Amino acid sequence: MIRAEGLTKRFPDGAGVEGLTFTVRPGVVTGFLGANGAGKSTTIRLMLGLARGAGRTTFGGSGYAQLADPLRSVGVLVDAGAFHPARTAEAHLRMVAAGGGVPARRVREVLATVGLETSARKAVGRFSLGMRQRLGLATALLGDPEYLILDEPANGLDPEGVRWIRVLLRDLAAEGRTVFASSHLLAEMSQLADDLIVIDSGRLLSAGPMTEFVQRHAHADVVVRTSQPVELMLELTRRGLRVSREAAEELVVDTADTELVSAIAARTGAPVRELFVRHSGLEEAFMAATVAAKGGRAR
Amino acid sequence: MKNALAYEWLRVRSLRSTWLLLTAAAVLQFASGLYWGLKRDLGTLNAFTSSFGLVARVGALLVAAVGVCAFSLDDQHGTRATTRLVLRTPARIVAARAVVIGGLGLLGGALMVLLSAAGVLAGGGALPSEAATWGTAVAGVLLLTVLSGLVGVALGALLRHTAAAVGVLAVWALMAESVVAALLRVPLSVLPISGTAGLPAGGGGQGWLAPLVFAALAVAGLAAAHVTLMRRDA
Repeated sequence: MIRAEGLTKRFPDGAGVEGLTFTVRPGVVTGFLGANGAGKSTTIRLMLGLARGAGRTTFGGSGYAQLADPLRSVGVLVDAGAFHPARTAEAHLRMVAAGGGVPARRVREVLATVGLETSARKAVGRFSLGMRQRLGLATALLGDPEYLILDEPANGLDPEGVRWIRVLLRDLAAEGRTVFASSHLLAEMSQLADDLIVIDSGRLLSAGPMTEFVQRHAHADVVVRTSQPVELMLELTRRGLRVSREAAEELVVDTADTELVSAIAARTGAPVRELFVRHSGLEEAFMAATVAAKGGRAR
Repeated sequence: MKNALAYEWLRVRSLRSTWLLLTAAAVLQFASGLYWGLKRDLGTLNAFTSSFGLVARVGALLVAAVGVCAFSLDDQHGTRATTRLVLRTPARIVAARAVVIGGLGLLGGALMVLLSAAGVLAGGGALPSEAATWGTAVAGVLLLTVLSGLVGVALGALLRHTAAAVGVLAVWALMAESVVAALLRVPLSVLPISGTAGLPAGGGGQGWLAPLVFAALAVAGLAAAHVTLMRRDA
Protein backbone atom coordinates (compact mmCIF):
# COMPACT_ATOMS: atom_id res chain seq x y z
CA MET A 1 0.00 0.00 0.00
CA ILE A 2 1.14 3.54 -0.75
CA ARG A 3 0.36 6.15 1.88
CA ALA A 4 0.78 9.84 1.16
CA GLU A 5 0.38 12.20 4.10
CA GLY A 6 0.22 15.98 4.02
CA LEU A 7 2.01 16.47 0.70
CA THR A 8 2.51 20.18 0.30
CA LYS A 9 4.53 22.32 -2.05
CA ARG A 10 4.02 25.92 -3.00
CA PHE A 11 5.55 27.60 -6.02
CA PRO A 12 6.26 31.34 -6.10
CA ASP A 13 3.34 31.89 -8.51
CA GLY A 14 0.92 30.44 -5.95
CA ALA A 15 0.50 27.08 -7.66
CA GLY A 16 1.41 23.81 -5.98
CA VAL A 17 -0.31 21.24 -3.82
CA GLU A 18 -1.74 21.61 -0.34
CA GLY A 19 -1.94 18.93 2.35
CA LEU A 20 -2.69 15.96 0.10
CA THR A 21 -3.37 12.79 2.07
CA PHE A 22 -4.50 9.56 0.45
CA THR A 23 -3.79 5.84 0.25
CA VAL A 24 -3.36 3.68 -2.82
CA ARG A 25 -4.34 0.05 -2.32
CA PRO A 26 -2.77 -2.96 -4.02
CA GLY A 27 -4.51 -5.17 -6.56
CA VAL A 28 -6.35 -2.36 -8.33
CA VAL A 29 -5.48 0.47 -10.68
CA THR A 30 -5.78 3.81 -8.92
CA GLY A 31 -6.29 6.75 -11.24
CA PHE A 32 -4.91 10.13 -10.29
CA LEU A 33 -7.17 12.64 -11.91
CA GLY A 34 -6.93 16.37 -12.26
CA ALA A 35 -7.03 19.04 -14.92
CA ASN A 36 -3.80 20.24 -16.53
CA GLY A 37 -1.92 22.23 -13.91
CA ALA A 38 -3.91 20.76 -11.02
CA GLY A 39 -0.72 19.48 -9.39
CA LYS A 40 -0.58 15.83 -10.48
CA SER A 41 3.07 15.84 -11.56
CA THR A 42 4.09 17.90 -8.53
CA THR A 43 2.36 15.36 -6.27
CA ILE A 44 4.14 12.45 -7.93
CA ARG A 45 7.49 14.22 -7.65
CA LEU A 46 6.81 14.90 -3.96
CA MET A 47 5.90 11.25 -3.42
CA LEU A 48 9.25 10.17 -4.85
CA GLY A 49 11.36 12.84 -3.18
CA LEU A 50 12.15 14.46 -6.54
CA ALA A 51 10.71 17.76 -5.36
CA ARG A 52 11.35 19.38 -2.02
CA GLY A 53 8.26 20.02 0.06
CA ALA A 54 6.37 18.95 3.14
CA GLY A 55 4.71 15.61 3.79
CA ARG A 56 5.69 11.98 3.57
CA THR A 57 4.94 9.07 1.28
CA THR A 58 5.58 5.45 2.20
CA PHE A 59 5.68 2.38 0.00
CA GLY A 60 4.83 -0.56 2.22
CA GLY A 61 5.94 1.47 5.23
CA SER A 62 9.19 2.93 3.88
CA GLY A 63 9.89 6.21 2.12
CA TYR A 64 11.49 6.01 -1.34
CA ALA A 65 14.84 7.17 0.05
CA GLN A 66 14.82 4.41 2.66
CA LEU A 67 14.02 1.53 0.29
CA ALA A 68 16.84 -0.99 0.09
CA ASP A 69 16.27 -1.67 -3.63
CA PRO A 70 14.15 1.19 -4.96
CA LEU A 71 14.10 -0.01 -8.55
CA ARG A 72 12.88 -3.42 -7.47
CA SER A 73 10.20 -1.86 -5.26
CA VAL A 74 8.93 1.19 -7.14
CA GLY A 75 8.72 1.54 -10.92
CA VAL A 76 8.41 5.12 -12.04
CA LEU A 77 7.44 6.94 -15.22
CA VAL A 78 7.69 10.69 -14.65
CA ASP A 79 8.66 12.12 -18.01
CA ALA A 80 8.43 9.89 -21.05
CA GLY A 81 10.48 12.29 -23.16
CA ALA A 82 13.45 12.25 -20.80
CA PHE A 83 16.11 10.24 -22.63
CA HIS A 84 19.41 11.16 -24.18
CA PRO A 85 18.56 11.14 -27.90
CA ALA A 86 21.87 9.56 -28.96
CA ARG A 87 21.60 6.64 -26.55
CA THR A 88 19.92 3.44 -27.73
CA ALA A 89 16.91 2.03 -25.90
CA GLU A 90 18.98 -0.96 -24.84
CA ALA A 91 21.85 1.21 -23.56
CA HIS A 92 19.41 3.34 -21.57
CA LEU A 93 17.86 0.30 -19.93
CA ARG A 94 21.25 -1.32 -19.28
CA MET A 95 22.39 1.87 -17.55
CA VAL A 96 19.32 2.03 -15.31
CA ALA A 97 19.50 -1.73 -14.62
CA ALA A 98 23.16 -1.42 -13.57
CA GLY A 99 22.34 1.49 -11.26
CA GLY A 100 19.50 -0.42 -9.65
CA GLY A 101 21.32 -3.73 -9.30
CA VAL A 102 18.89 -5.36 -11.71
CA PRO A 103 20.25 -8.24 -13.86
CA ALA A 104 20.98 -7.24 -17.46
CA ARG A 105 18.73 -10.05 -18.80
CA ARG A 106 15.72 -8.01 -17.64
CA VAL A 107 16.51 -5.46 -20.36
CA ARG A 108 15.48 -7.87 -23.15
CA GLU A 109 12.47 -9.04 -21.14
CA VAL A 110 11.03 -5.56 -20.60
CA LEU A 111 11.76 -4.52 -24.18
CA ALA A 112 9.68 -7.53 -25.27
CA THR A 113 6.93 -6.64 -22.77
CA VAL A 114 6.52 -3.15 -24.24
CA GLY A 115 6.97 -4.31 -27.84
CA LEU A 116 10.26 -2.56 -28.52
CA GLU A 117 12.55 -5.58 -29.01
CA THR A 118 13.13 -4.75 -32.70
CA SER A 119 14.06 -1.15 -31.83
CA ALA A 120 16.46 -2.03 -29.01
CA ARG A 121 19.55 -0.82 -30.91
CA LYS A 122 17.89 2.30 -32.27
CA ALA A 123 18.81 5.73 -30.88
CA VAL A 124 15.98 7.12 -28.76
CA GLY A 125 16.14 10.38 -30.74
CA ARG A 126 14.61 8.47 -33.67
CA PHE A 127 11.71 7.19 -31.56
CA SER A 128 8.15 8.45 -31.92
CA LEU A 129 6.41 9.84 -28.83
CA GLY A 130 4.56 6.56 -28.43
CA MET A 131 7.81 4.57 -28.58
CA ARG A 132 9.36 6.85 -25.98
CA GLN A 133 6.34 6.28 -23.79
CA ARG A 134 6.81 2.53 -24.16
CA LEU A 135 10.50 2.88 -23.30
CA GLY A 136 9.53 4.87 -20.21
CA LEU A 137 7.23 2.04 -19.20
CA ALA A 138 9.98 -0.49 -19.85
CA THR A 139 12.21 1.53 -17.50
CA ALA A 140 9.49 1.48 -14.86
CA LEU A 141 9.03 -2.29 -15.21
CA LEU A 142 12.76 -3.08 -15.21
CA GLY A 143 12.97 -4.07 -11.54
CA ASP A 144 9.69 -6.04 -11.64
CA PRO A 145 8.43 -3.66 -8.94
CA GLU A 146 5.57 -4.06 -6.50
CA TYR A 147 4.56 -0.40 -6.84
CA LEU A 148 4.09 1.50 -10.10
CA ILE A 149 3.87 5.29 -10.22
CA LEU A 150 3.07 6.45 -13.73
CA ASP A 151 2.58 10.06 -14.77
CA GLU A 152 0.34 10.25 -17.83
CA PRO A 153 1.31 6.78 -19.12
CA ALA A 154 -0.99 6.92 -22.14
CA ASN A 155 0.32 10.25 -23.45
CA GLY A 156 1.34 10.00 -27.08
CA LEU A 157 0.06 6.48 -27.58
CA ASP A 158 -2.18 5.67 -30.55
CA PRO A 159 -5.61 4.09 -29.87
CA GLU A 160 -4.09 0.62 -30.07
CA GLY A 161 -1.35 1.70 -27.65
CA VAL A 162 -3.91 3.15 -25.23
CA ARG A 163 -5.78 -0.14 -25.29
CA TRP A 164 -2.50 -2.03 -24.82
CA ILE A 165 -1.50 0.01 -21.77
CA ARG A 166 -4.96 -0.36 -20.28
CA VAL A 167 -4.70 -4.14 -20.51
CA LEU A 168 -1.09 -4.11 -19.26
CA LEU A 169 -1.86 -2.00 -16.18
CA ARG A 170 -4.94 -4.01 -15.31
CA ASP A 171 -2.92 -7.22 -15.64
CA LEU A 172 -0.19 -5.79 -13.40
CA ALA A 173 -2.79 -4.81 -10.81
CA ALA A 174 -4.37 -8.25 -11.05
CA GLU A 175 -1.00 -9.71 -10.06
CA GLY A 176 -1.39 -7.84 -6.76
CA ARG A 177 0.77 -4.83 -7.58
CA THR A 178 -0.13 -1.30 -6.56
CA VAL A 179 -0.67 0.74 -9.72
CA PHE A 180 -1.01 4.53 -9.48
CA ALA A 181 -1.47 6.28 -12.84
CA SER A 182 -2.20 9.93 -13.42
CA SER A 183 -4.14 11.31 -16.35
CA HIS A 184 -6.15 14.31 -17.40
CA LEU A 185 -8.04 12.19 -19.95
CA LEU A 186 -11.35 11.29 -18.35
CA ALA A 187 -12.46 8.76 -20.97
CA GLU A 188 -9.21 6.86 -20.58
CA MET A 189 -9.44 6.95 -16.80
CA SER A 190 -13.04 5.76 -16.75
CA GLN A 191 -11.96 2.59 -18.53
CA LEU A 192 -8.74 2.06 -16.62
CA ALA A 193 -9.17 2.87 -12.94
CA ASP A 194 -10.93 1.11 -10.11
CA ASP A 195 -10.09 3.75 -7.52
CA LEU A 196 -9.72 7.46 -8.04
CA ILE A 197 -7.74 10.20 -6.37
CA VAL A 198 -9.10 13.49 -7.70
CA ILE A 199 -7.39 16.84 -7.18
CA ASP A 200 -8.20 20.34 -8.28
CA SER A 201 -5.93 23.36 -7.91
CA GLY A 202 -3.60 21.33 -5.69
CA ARG A 203 -6.31 20.24 -3.26
CA LEU A 204 -7.80 16.80 -2.75
CA LEU A 205 -11.38 16.51 -3.98
CA SER A 206 -11.96 12.82 -3.57
CA ALA A 207 -10.18 9.56 -2.80
CA GLY A 208 -11.90 6.20 -3.07
CA PRO A 209 -13.58 3.83 -5.50
CA MET A 210 -14.49 5.40 -8.85
CA THR A 211 -18.09 4.14 -8.65
CA GLU A 212 -18.58 6.02 -5.36
CA PHE A 213 -17.11 9.20 -6.85
CA VAL A 214 -19.37 9.01 -9.88
CA GLN A 215 -22.42 8.26 -7.76
CA ARG A 216 -21.65 11.11 -5.38
CA HIS A 217 -21.19 13.70 -8.08
CA ALA A 218 -23.21 12.20 -10.88
CA HIS A 219 -26.52 13.42 -12.03
CA ALA A 220 -29.54 11.58 -13.47
CA ASP A 221 -31.97 13.03 -16.02
CA VAL A 222 -35.03 11.63 -17.68
CA VAL A 223 -34.91 11.92 -21.45
CA VAL A 224 -38.29 11.96 -23.25
CA ARG A 225 -38.76 11.81 -26.99
CA THR A 226 -42.16 13.01 -28.07
CA SER A 227 -43.89 14.54 -31.10
CA GLN A 228 -45.48 17.23 -28.82
CA PRO A 229 -42.49 18.61 -26.96
CA VAL A 230 -43.91 22.11 -26.43
CA GLU A 231 -47.07 20.93 -24.68
CA LEU A 232 -45.20 18.43 -22.56
CA MET A 233 -42.51 20.96 -21.66
CA LEU A 234 -45.13 23.46 -20.49
CA GLU A 235 -46.86 20.86 -18.33
CA LEU A 236 -43.59 19.58 -16.81
CA THR A 237 -42.51 23.15 -16.03
CA ARG A 238 -45.93 23.89 -14.50
CA ARG A 239 -45.37 20.94 -12.17
CA GLY A 240 -42.13 22.54 -10.97
CA LEU A 241 -39.68 20.43 -12.96
CA ARG A 242 -36.69 21.91 -14.75
CA VAL A 243 -36.79 20.99 -18.42
CA SER A 244 -34.45 21.65 -21.31
CA ARG A 245 -34.88 20.89 -24.98
CA GLU A 246 -31.82 19.16 -26.46
CA ALA A 247 -33.28 18.34 -29.88
CA ALA A 248 -36.45 19.19 -31.79
CA GLU A 249 -38.42 16.34 -30.26
CA GLU A 250 -36.32 15.59 -27.20
CA LEU A 251 -36.74 16.94 -23.68
CA VAL A 252 -34.40 16.45 -20.76
CA VAL A 253 -36.08 16.60 -17.36
CA ASP A 254 -34.04 17.24 -14.24
CA THR A 255 -35.23 14.23 -12.25
CA ALA A 256 -34.58 10.52 -12.05
CA ASP A 257 -38.30 9.77 -11.55
CA THR A 258 -39.43 8.12 -14.80
CA GLU A 259 -42.88 7.28 -13.42
CA LEU A 260 -43.65 10.93 -12.66
CA VAL A 261 -42.57 12.07 -16.12
CA SER A 262 -44.48 9.28 -17.83
CA ALA A 263 -47.64 10.07 -15.78
CA ILE A 264 -47.47 13.76 -16.72
CA ALA A 265 -46.97 12.84 -20.36
CA ALA A 266 -50.00 10.53 -20.23
CA ARG A 267 -52.17 13.26 -18.68
CA THR A 268 -51.00 15.77 -21.28
CA GLY A 269 -51.77 13.32 -24.05
CA ALA A 270 -48.31 13.71 -25.56
CA PRO A 271 -47.34 10.53 -27.38
CA VAL A 272 -44.05 9.25 -25.91
CA ARG A 273 -41.75 7.46 -28.33
CA GLU A 274 -38.93 6.92 -25.87
CA LEU A 275 -38.35 7.61 -22.16
CA PHE A 276 -35.29 6.64 -20.18
CA VAL A 277 -32.98 7.70 -17.36
CA ARG A 278 -29.64 9.07 -18.46
CA HIS A 279 -26.87 8.77 -15.84
CA SER A 280 -23.89 11.03 -16.16
CA GLY A 281 -20.44 9.41 -16.24
CA LEU A 282 -17.01 10.21 -14.89
CA GLU A 283 -16.65 13.28 -17.08
CA GLU A 284 -19.81 14.91 -15.75
CA ALA A 285 -19.00 13.80 -12.18
CA PHE A 286 -15.52 15.31 -12.45
CA MET A 287 -16.88 18.57 -13.86
CA ALA A 288 -19.52 18.71 -11.13
CA ALA A 289 -16.97 18.01 -8.40
CA THR A 290 -14.52 20.64 -9.62
CA VAL A 291 -17.23 23.26 -10.10
CA ALA A 292 -18.52 22.56 -6.58
CA ALA A 293 -14.99 22.79 -5.17
CA LYS A 294 -14.32 26.08 -6.94
CA GLY A 295 -17.67 27.42 -5.68
CA GLY A 296 -16.81 26.35 -2.14
CA ARG A 297 -13.40 28.04 -2.30
CA ALA A 298 -14.92 31.21 -3.75
CA ARG A 299 -17.35 31.41 -0.80
CA MET B 1 28.22 2.81 -4.44
CA LYS B 2 29.19 -0.06 -6.78
CA ASN B 3 25.85 0.25 -8.59
CA ALA B 4 26.20 4.02 -8.77
CA LEU B 5 29.60 3.65 -10.41
CA ALA B 6 28.21 1.07 -12.84
CA TYR B 7 25.34 3.44 -13.73
CA GLU B 8 27.69 6.33 -14.29
CA TRP B 9 30.17 4.25 -16.29
CA LEU B 10 27.42 2.94 -18.58
CA ARG B 11 26.01 6.46 -18.90
CA VAL B 12 29.31 7.98 -20.00
CA ARG B 13 30.37 4.94 -22.06
CA SER B 14 27.17 4.94 -24.11
CA LEU B 15 27.70 8.50 -25.36
CA ARG B 16 29.70 9.05 -28.54
CA SER B 17 30.72 12.52 -27.34
CA THR B 18 32.80 10.99 -24.52
CA TRP B 19 35.00 9.07 -26.93
CA LEU B 20 35.12 11.86 -29.50
CA LEU B 21 36.38 14.35 -26.92
CA LEU B 22 39.01 11.96 -25.49
CA THR B 23 40.15 10.95 -28.98
CA ALA B 24 40.40 14.60 -30.00
CA ALA B 25 42.60 15.32 -26.97
CA ALA B 26 44.87 12.39 -27.82
CA VAL B 27 45.05 13.25 -31.54
CA LEU B 28 45.91 16.88 -30.78
CA GLN B 29 48.66 15.73 -28.48
CA PHE B 30 50.02 13.36 -31.15
CA ALA B 31 50.05 16.26 -33.62
CA SER B 32 51.89 18.41 -31.10
CA GLY B 33 54.40 15.62 -30.44
CA LEU B 34 54.94 15.22 -34.18
CA TYR B 35 55.42 18.99 -34.61
CA TRP B 36 58.03 19.13 -31.86
CA GLY B 37 59.63 15.86 -33.01
CA LEU B 38 60.16 17.32 -36.48
CA LYS B 39 61.96 20.38 -35.09
CA ARG B 40 65.71 20.22 -35.40
CA ASP B 41 66.66 23.58 -33.80
CA LEU B 42 65.51 22.91 -30.25
CA GLY B 43 68.71 23.80 -28.45
CA THR B 44 68.29 22.91 -24.78
CA LEU B 45 64.57 22.27 -25.18
CA ASN B 46 63.18 18.76 -25.08
CA ALA B 47 60.68 17.86 -27.83
CA PHE B 48 58.61 15.61 -25.56
CA THR B 49 58.14 18.00 -22.62
CA SER B 50 57.72 20.97 -24.97
CA SER B 51 54.91 19.18 -26.82
CA PHE B 52 52.53 19.70 -23.90
CA GLY B 53 52.24 23.44 -23.15
CA LEU B 54 49.16 24.99 -24.79
CA VAL B 55 48.06 21.71 -26.42
CA ALA B 56 47.89 19.97 -23.04
CA ARG B 57 45.61 22.78 -21.84
CA VAL B 58 43.36 22.30 -24.85
CA GLY B 59 43.39 18.55 -24.23
CA ALA B 60 42.50 19.11 -20.59
CA LEU B 61 39.68 21.39 -21.73
CA LEU B 62 38.30 18.55 -23.86
CA VAL B 63 38.49 16.17 -20.87
CA ALA B 64 36.78 18.85 -18.76
CA ALA B 65 33.99 18.98 -21.35
CA VAL B 66 33.35 15.27 -20.71
CA GLY B 67 33.02 16.20 -17.03
CA VAL B 68 30.70 19.11 -17.79
CA CYS B 69 28.43 16.81 -19.81
CA ALA B 70 28.02 14.50 -16.80
CA PHE B 71 25.56 16.99 -15.32
CA SER B 72 24.63 19.40 -18.10
CA LEU B 73 23.27 16.65 -20.37
CA ASP B 74 20.96 15.55 -17.55
CA ASP B 75 19.50 19.05 -17.54
CA GLN B 76 19.48 19.35 -21.31
CA HIS B 77 17.58 16.09 -21.87
CA GLY B 78 15.48 16.02 -18.71
CA THR B 79 17.14 12.88 -17.33
CA ARG B 80 17.86 14.40 -13.91
CA ALA B 81 14.86 12.61 -12.39
CA THR B 82 16.04 9.24 -13.73
CA THR B 83 19.49 9.76 -12.23
CA ARG B 84 17.99 10.87 -8.93
CA LEU B 85 15.58 7.92 -8.78
CA VAL B 86 18.33 5.41 -9.51
CA LEU B 87 21.22 6.88 -7.49
CA ARG B 88 18.98 8.66 -4.94
CA THR B 89 21.34 10.84 -2.90
CA PRO B 90 23.19 13.91 -4.24
CA ALA B 91 26.34 12.68 -2.47
CA ARG B 92 26.23 9.38 -4.36
CA ILE B 93 25.55 11.15 -7.66
CA VAL B 94 28.45 13.61 -7.25
CA ALA B 95 30.82 10.93 -5.93
CA ALA B 96 30.03 8.47 -8.75
CA ARG B 97 30.45 11.15 -11.38
CA ALA B 98 33.69 12.41 -9.85
CA VAL B 99 35.18 8.89 -9.69
CA VAL B 100 34.17 7.91 -13.24
CA ILE B 101 35.17 11.23 -14.82
CA GLY B 102 38.38 11.18 -12.78
CA GLY B 103 39.08 7.74 -14.24
CA LEU B 104 38.37 8.99 -17.75
CA GLY B 105 40.66 11.96 -17.05
CA LEU B 106 43.36 9.48 -16.11
CA LEU B 107 42.76 7.54 -19.32
CA GLY B 108 42.76 10.73 -21.38
CA GLY B 109 45.97 11.92 -19.74
CA ALA B 110 47.67 8.55 -20.29
CA LEU B 111 46.64 8.61 -23.96
CA MET B 112 47.96 12.16 -24.30
CA VAL B 113 51.33 11.17 -22.83
CA LEU B 114 51.62 8.03 -24.97
CA LEU B 115 50.57 9.72 -28.19
CA SER B 116 52.77 12.72 -27.53
CA ALA B 117 55.74 10.35 -27.18
CA ALA B 118 54.62 8.50 -30.30
CA GLY B 119 54.38 11.81 -32.17
CA VAL B 120 57.86 12.87 -31.11
CA LEU B 121 59.30 9.53 -32.22
CA ALA B 122 57.33 9.63 -35.49
CA GLY B 123 58.85 13.05 -36.18
CA GLY B 124 62.33 11.70 -35.57
CA GLY B 125 62.79 13.46 -32.23
CA ALA B 126 64.27 12.05 -29.06
CA LEU B 127 62.49 11.21 -25.84
CA PRO B 128 63.97 12.27 -22.50
CA SER B 129 66.30 9.73 -20.94
CA GLU B 130 65.93 10.80 -17.28
CA ALA B 131 63.25 9.06 -15.24
CA ALA B 132 62.61 12.27 -13.26
CA THR B 133 61.70 14.17 -16.43
CA TRP B 134 59.32 11.41 -17.44
CA GLY B 135 57.85 11.26 -13.95
CA THR B 136 57.20 14.99 -13.76
CA ALA B 137 55.74 15.07 -17.28
CA VAL B 138 53.44 12.11 -16.72
CA ALA B 139 52.33 13.29 -13.27
CA GLY B 140 51.77 16.82 -14.56
CA VAL B 141 49.63 15.74 -17.51
CA LEU B 142 47.64 13.22 -15.48
CA LEU B 143 46.98 15.77 -12.72
CA LEU B 144 45.94 18.33 -15.31
CA THR B 145 43.45 16.03 -17.04
CA VAL B 146 42.03 14.44 -13.88
CA LEU B 147 41.56 17.77 -12.09
CA SER B 148 40.15 19.40 -15.23
CA GLY B 149 37.63 16.58 -15.48
CA LEU B 150 36.59 17.07 -11.85
CA VAL B 151 36.30 20.83 -12.23
CA GLY B 152 34.21 20.15 -15.35
CA VAL B 153 31.86 17.93 -13.31
CA ALA B 154 31.47 20.69 -10.71
CA LEU B 155 30.88 23.45 -13.26
CA GLY B 156 28.40 21.29 -15.17
CA ALA B 157 26.40 20.79 -11.96
CA LEU B 158 26.55 24.44 -10.99
CA LEU B 159 25.85 26.06 -14.38
CA ARG B 160 23.62 23.28 -15.82
CA HIS B 161 24.53 24.36 -19.34
CA THR B 162 27.18 22.68 -21.50
CA ALA B 163 28.19 25.68 -23.61
CA ALA B 164 28.27 28.06 -20.63
CA ALA B 165 30.38 25.70 -18.49
CA VAL B 166 32.83 24.86 -21.29
CA GLY B 167 33.02 28.56 -22.16
CA VAL B 168 33.92 29.46 -18.57
CA LEU B 169 36.57 26.73 -18.53
CA ALA B 170 38.00 27.84 -21.89
CA VAL B 171 38.27 31.46 -20.78
CA TRP B 172 39.84 30.33 -17.51
CA ALA B 173 42.31 27.89 -19.09
CA LEU B 174 43.32 29.93 -22.11
CA MET B 175 43.00 33.56 -21.06
CA ALA B 176 41.96 34.46 -17.53
CA GLU B 177 45.03 33.11 -15.75
CA SER B 178 47.40 35.01 -18.05
CA VAL B 179 45.42 38.20 -17.40
CA VAL B 180 45.44 37.58 -13.63
CA ALA B 181 49.18 36.88 -13.71
CA ALA B 182 49.84 40.11 -15.63
CA LEU B 183 47.54 42.31 -13.56
CA LEU B 184 48.43 40.98 -10.11
CA ARG B 185 52.07 40.21 -10.94
CA VAL B 186 51.63 36.63 -9.82
CA PRO B 187 53.82 33.95 -11.42
CA LEU B 188 51.85 31.72 -13.81
CA SER B 189 53.40 28.69 -12.13
CA VAL B 190 51.24 29.17 -9.01
CA LEU B 191 47.98 29.52 -10.91
CA PRO B 192 45.98 26.29 -11.03
CA ILE B 193 45.75 25.42 -14.73
CA SER B 194 48.83 27.24 -16.03
CA GLY B 195 50.98 25.93 -13.19
CA THR B 196 49.78 22.34 -13.56
CA ALA B 197 50.10 22.51 -17.35
CA GLY B 198 53.63 23.82 -16.89
CA LEU B 199 54.72 20.85 -14.80
CA PRO B 200 55.68 18.61 -17.76
CA ALA B 201 58.10 21.30 -18.94
CA GLY B 202 59.66 21.52 -15.49
CA GLY B 203 57.30 24.06 -13.89
CA GLY B 204 58.41 27.51 -12.82
CA GLY B 205 60.07 26.79 -9.52
CA GLN B 206 56.85 26.65 -7.48
CA GLY B 207 56.76 22.85 -7.65
CA TRP B 208 53.44 21.30 -6.76
CA LEU B 209 51.67 24.41 -5.47
CA ALA B 210 49.58 24.88 -8.62
CA PRO B 211 48.17 21.33 -8.69
CA LEU B 212 47.40 21.66 -4.97
CA VAL B 213 45.45 24.88 -5.60
CA PHE B 214 43.74 23.21 -8.59
CA ALA B 215 42.83 20.18 -6.45
CA ALA B 216 41.44 22.45 -3.72
CA LEU B 217 39.33 24.25 -6.32
CA ALA B 218 38.06 20.91 -7.69
CA VAL B 219 37.11 19.71 -4.19
CA ALA B 220 35.41 23.03 -3.39
CA GLY B 221 33.55 22.89 -6.71
CA LEU B 222 32.35 19.34 -6.07
CA ALA B 223 31.23 20.29 -2.55
CA ALA B 224 29.31 23.26 -3.99
CA ALA B 225 27.77 20.93 -6.60
CA HIS B 226 26.62 18.62 -3.79
CA VAL B 227 25.03 21.48 -1.84
CA THR B 228 23.32 22.77 -5.00
CA LEU B 229 21.91 19.33 -5.77
CA MET B 230 20.60 19.02 -2.20
CA ARG B 231 18.71 22.30 -2.61
CA ARG B 232 17.42 21.69 -6.09
CA ASP B 233 14.32 19.79 -7.20
CA ALA B 234 15.18 16.93 -9.54
